[in-house]
Amino acid sequence: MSTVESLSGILPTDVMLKILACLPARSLVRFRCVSKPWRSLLSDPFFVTMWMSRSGTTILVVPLEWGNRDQCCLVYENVYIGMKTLKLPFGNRWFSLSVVGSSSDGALICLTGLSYSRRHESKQGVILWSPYMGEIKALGNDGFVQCRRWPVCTQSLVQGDNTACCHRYAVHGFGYEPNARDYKVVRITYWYGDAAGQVYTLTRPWHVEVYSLGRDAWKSLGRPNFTATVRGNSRAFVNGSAHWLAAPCASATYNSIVAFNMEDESFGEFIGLPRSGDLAQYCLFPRGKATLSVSRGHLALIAFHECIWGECGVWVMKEYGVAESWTKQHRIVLPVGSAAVQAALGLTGRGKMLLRMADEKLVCCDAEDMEICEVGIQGGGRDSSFDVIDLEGADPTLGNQAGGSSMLTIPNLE
Amino acid sequence: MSSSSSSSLPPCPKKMITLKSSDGETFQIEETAALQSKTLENMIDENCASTPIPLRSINGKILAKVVEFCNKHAEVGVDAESLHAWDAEFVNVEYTTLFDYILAANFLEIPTLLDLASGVVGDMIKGKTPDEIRKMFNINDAFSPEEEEEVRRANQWAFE
Repeated sequence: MSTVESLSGILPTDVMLKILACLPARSLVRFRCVSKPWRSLLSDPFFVTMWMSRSGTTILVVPLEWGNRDQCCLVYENVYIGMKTLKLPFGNRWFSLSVVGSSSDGALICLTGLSYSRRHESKQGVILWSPYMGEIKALGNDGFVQCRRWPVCTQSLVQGDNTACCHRYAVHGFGYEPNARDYKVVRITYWYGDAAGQVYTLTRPWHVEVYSLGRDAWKSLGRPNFTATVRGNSRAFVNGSAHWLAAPCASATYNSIVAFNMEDESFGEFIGLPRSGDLAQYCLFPRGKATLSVSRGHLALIAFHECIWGECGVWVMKEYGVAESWTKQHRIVLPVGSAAVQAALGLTGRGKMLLRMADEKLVCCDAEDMEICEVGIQGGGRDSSFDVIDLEGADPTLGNQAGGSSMLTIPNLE
Repeated sequence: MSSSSSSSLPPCPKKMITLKSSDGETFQIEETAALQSKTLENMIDENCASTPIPLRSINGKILAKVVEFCNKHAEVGVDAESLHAWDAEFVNVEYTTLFDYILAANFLEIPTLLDLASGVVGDMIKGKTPDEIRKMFNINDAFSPEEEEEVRRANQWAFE
């Protein structure tokens, strides 16, 4: 905390902190009205992180779709701790808000969103959101264009409109680089259709760029040295790298993991999945529900059974980068009668898995006793993604790195 | 100095220390009970506890309760459940008295009492309105009505 002003005329500040750290979210938000020192304290990332990591809890970042297209909220257990209307710098209506990732303390969250610019065409924006500071930064107002007609936009092919060619599919990753105290966003672009007379299929990554908050600029890294297809909704940040499940081509099943190291700004060796025998019964189709996640600092894989309804497995890579160290940690079977699973959102530190069901409800499933409880909100469209931030063991100094002031203006240390 | 008089020896005459409140009352407390206070422990370690210890920020009424608390928590053979019930009864007081307990526990560094009393204050305030909080904690630097309205609007859900 940058300044500790008097919170009370009676009790000393350290005692007040102790008392306030035990209060429920609703009281804390209401008490922002008490006085200016209370408001600054109760909005301070350091305090909020301290408050949340007290019980080793998990927060969930949920982009809301349908009636609330431009809103995003943080959910702590089943209490909203903040909701924000996120405005993109271009376009007036936008959709498909997706969470790319978040810092381990939940102090900075990276999202992407699309906005209409012309008919059948939309611009994609990358946004950094610091929920506790209430700040938003849009990264690179370059009008990255995506076509709304998937996979190929015949309209623009007929018109020969290559100038604003829209056959791109972008995969994003977000991560923190501790040495440089910098946040980075990586974007891998795939080409669907026609570009300057050449035809690319989805199998070929076309271009890689990386954004650094410290530099406040995108940097092109050119064409990557691999041909695999990765999917943006299968990502996990762990061990300094962003990871995605990868398939040899668009129509194949996932067979490895692509990792992008935020410090080196380069792709590492492909990481193997658990032995095929272990995974034989599980569905690994890119359009399916398999995803990567993080379990207590380890890379984890969640995959659903092909035949048995409601069964999924969680594997954890005990030793980073060693495919032999994959260990099946949980086998979760949902109770008969629950709705079908639409997507697995992630794992919490306490062996719980967050799922989005076919009825759009978000539920939390305990891996030990298979008990299911509703998170209490609905959210997200079919393609939008969520993020689960496990605050257990989060480093509270992380959120305070900018001296308790703006998260989005990290001084350039280079 | 306490290392030689370890618990393996048969009970020796109880060592008492004397505390003196802000209004001049004196209280006897066994050294074993007083050791729950880090402040008193330091004084005992530095041999400063042979004369009555003046506690200028704690009045006799509160000091009596604090001594009672320390004695209860130093008793041997009290099961957790009955101690819990005793604690609940001990803090079943007005919030102003709780604040006095907190200030005394903070000054004397008695973590058990501080945790207990601040936990109760937390339970007490969680449903209160900002106005009630200001009154309770003697906060005078409130927002202007316009500012308060603005902060309230931004955090509306918490008021519903």
